[in-house]
Amino acid sequence: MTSAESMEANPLAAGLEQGRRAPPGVLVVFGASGDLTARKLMPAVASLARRRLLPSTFAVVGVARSPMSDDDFRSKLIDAVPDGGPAWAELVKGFRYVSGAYGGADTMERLKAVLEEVDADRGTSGNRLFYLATVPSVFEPVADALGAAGLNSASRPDSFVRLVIEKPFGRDLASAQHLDDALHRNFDETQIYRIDHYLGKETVQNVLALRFANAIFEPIWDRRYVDHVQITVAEALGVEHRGGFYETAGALRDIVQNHVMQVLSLTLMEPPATIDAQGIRDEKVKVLRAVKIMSVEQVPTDVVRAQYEAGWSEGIAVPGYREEDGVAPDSRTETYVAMKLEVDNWRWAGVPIFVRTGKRLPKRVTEVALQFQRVPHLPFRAHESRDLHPNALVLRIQPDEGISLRFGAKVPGQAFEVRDVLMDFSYGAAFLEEAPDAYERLLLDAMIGDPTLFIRSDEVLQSWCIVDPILTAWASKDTPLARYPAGTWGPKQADQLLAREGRRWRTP
Amino acid sequence: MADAVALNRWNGTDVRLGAVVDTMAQLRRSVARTASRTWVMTLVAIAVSDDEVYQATQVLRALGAHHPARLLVVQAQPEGGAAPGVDASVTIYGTEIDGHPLTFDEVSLLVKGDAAQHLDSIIEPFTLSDLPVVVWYPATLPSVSEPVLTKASSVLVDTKQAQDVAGLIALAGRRAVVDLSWMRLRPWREMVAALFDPPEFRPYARQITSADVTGKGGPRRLLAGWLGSRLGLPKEHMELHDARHARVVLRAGSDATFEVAREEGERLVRASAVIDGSIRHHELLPLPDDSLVWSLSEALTHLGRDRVWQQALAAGVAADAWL
Ligand SMILES: NC(=O)c1ccc[n+]([C@@H]2O[C@H](COP(=O)([O-])OP(=O)(O)OC[C@H]3O[C@@H](n4cnc5c(N)ncnc54)[C@H](OP(=O)(O)O)[C@@H]3O)[C@@H](O)[C@H]2O)c1
Repeated sequence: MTSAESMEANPLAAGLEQGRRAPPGVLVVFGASGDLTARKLMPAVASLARRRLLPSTFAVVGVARSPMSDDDFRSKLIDAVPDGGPAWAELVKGFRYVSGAYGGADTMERLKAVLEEVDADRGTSGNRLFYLATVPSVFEPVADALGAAGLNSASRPDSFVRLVIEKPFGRDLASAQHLDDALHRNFDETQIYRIDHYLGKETVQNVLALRFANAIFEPIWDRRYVDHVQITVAEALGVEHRGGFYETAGALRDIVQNHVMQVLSLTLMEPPATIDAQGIRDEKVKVLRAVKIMSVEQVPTDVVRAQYEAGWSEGIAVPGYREEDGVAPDSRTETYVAMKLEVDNWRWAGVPIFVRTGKRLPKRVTEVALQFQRVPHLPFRAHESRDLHPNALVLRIQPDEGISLRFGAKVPGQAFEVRDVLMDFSYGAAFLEEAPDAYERLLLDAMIGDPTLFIRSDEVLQSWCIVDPILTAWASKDTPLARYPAGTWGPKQADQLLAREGRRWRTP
Repeated sequence: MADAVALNRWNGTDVRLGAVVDTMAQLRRSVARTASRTWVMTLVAIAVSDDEVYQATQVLRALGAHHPARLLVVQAQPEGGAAPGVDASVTIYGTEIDGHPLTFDEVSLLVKGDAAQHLDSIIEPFTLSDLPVVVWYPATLPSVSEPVLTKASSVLVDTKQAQDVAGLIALAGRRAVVDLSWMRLRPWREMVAALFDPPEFRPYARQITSADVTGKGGPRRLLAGWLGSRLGLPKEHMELHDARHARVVLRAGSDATFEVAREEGERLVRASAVIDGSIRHHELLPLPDDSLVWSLSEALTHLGRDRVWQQALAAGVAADAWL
């Protein structure tokens, strides 16, 4: 029970929809000197404050190794939010910083003392949200040290302690399992909030609204009507300055295991009984379990991996992946993956799910396309319907969030010519309310204690089960690595993956 | 987002409404812009004076560029001895959102003579099928028996300048009424309520003995009505002062003072709690937006009935605050 519930209701809060306001608490950020904190977390905190969704009894405590005073930290945060104004400067005055080694017992003792001071000064009620915004190698030591210091459980009967953990959650099934066990040594699953910022995006949540708030889509959302599904996560950028990091990751780990699997599960899952944490996550994991695990032998046939070569991207000549800073000249890290997945359940049996993701593709776009089957019989003459394709329903996730439906319509005139038209719905143009940034949404959910949009342990492990055979196959030196020029839609092998079944990739 | 530009315009005197609707379709076709627009409602502004028409049109135009409502401005002119009839003008605007070209149209109707008593029959041809019809009175308050209200799913009013709100209370008992003035007060209510969020301050919310409310006429009284009805404060324990800037002070005996006040000369609001003489809480918040466009768009996202507002309004009246 939260402290708000055990207390008398606030008579002035009636009608103010304050259910979505954060309770009192401290956000403790590990890695507070880093990029994510400055670029995403603090702007999200400032925006929540501006929208009056944070209580006055809120504070941030930063933890990292870099030596900084409280004031250094505060001025760094003020710089991180240039449009914060005096209200942000005032809020930041109550924030604190603890410098020390991540897993160190003395760091935790000092943190504990600071947290007690903050509780006394700011009325944060013993509630803590620990946010691991640092390198993955310290996730385990931090969780252990929190446990050793007794910071892993609530100090008061009605307060909460939660742990938010960033990606990557492991680098294969074994390491993910190891990390999961390590976290569970000190935290219950109900305390652990694994972030995938894709789930904070309004349009990803809208997949649920489209499917389950409308009666007309769900009946056709299956093998009887859908010919195949295409999931595209394309980036126009290369690895930029993160070549060193990318060398250890690659597209499969960086995008497929997490974002693609999340989008896939929301798109293909069965209707949940309730739109809540258990209802949704139970169904997501069910459909992930239905995704057929490939054999290692099957990988060369059903998965294409590739790397970009020098080319032209958005009008600029750009280097190939192996020429990027921090990348080995003989690197075999994939910047592109295309694959065919199968889902073995009643709804999707026999419907191939094609996934592709890559860097240095022609544009930045994330979309899910349901390609419907052809009509059983086309009652038009061939020349009248040559411009007609099967229906497609496209859920555009970014940018320009929206939905479009391709259908056939008669071309005005005497002849009965039919042609594709696109009916286009754009979220940006349909609602006045501004969608909150993904981190803002997720931070607030974590503070409120709503885990619906966070990844549960079984989901993360099942996602790794799906990609693990691919990692195993690629670990051997003789698996092929295709090439594609920067600024194109990937290698020809990816086209062949569909062409061999008489299908082709969409052009998003 | 690009500014909206008029792409095409048409007007006519003593027109048949069917002809106006046909003209709209033609005009839309003539501006070969976007294929479809996602509509969510019809928004009808009922204005009396030319001045009101002008203001409503300006606001709707700003809103129309990013809110997918069909916009209708109706000026009722029952006096002047004119024969019943309607003069109409239709304008198609074009703008762009995130690279999507889009158009919206604006219909202005001048309804003359006895026709002004039958606005319900006038707006019907323009309403979008199956979608809510929101009727907005920018400056006046409608009477309960206004025929056009039978077509309204929600009614928007503004009590900022209103004197006699008894009729409004009766109307609110029958249909969803949203008060723009109440929308502008929403951030203020949130800031006052938030003072009692901390567990150690929560008990004071039940122990408030007096309130000072400072601000401009209508909103000040509505705020006082809200505090009175929520906290059970009798009117003798409330003091109202006229001032340009808003300020709310709540006292729990002589022990505790809670205050939310606009900072003089700054776009900031200060919220504070002083208990037993020491400052226990102090916070600076950005001054909330109070523009008409903002309050209208807030109203359009909170279209339901609001019992808290009804009670605040009634308490304001009971406390004679409205007279
Ligand atoms: N940045 C993003 O946009 C983004 C997006 C999605 C997910 N993430 C995830 O969020 C987490 C944080 O990302 P980030 O970009 O903020 O990382 P970062 O800036 O590289 O690192 C955060 C902080 O961690 C500490 N650190 C760096 N390398 C370390 C090492 N080898 N050992 C111990 N501490 C080290 C540094 O602080 P001190 O030296 O002061 O201790 C650094 O300021 C990562 O898990 C990342 O995958 C980031």
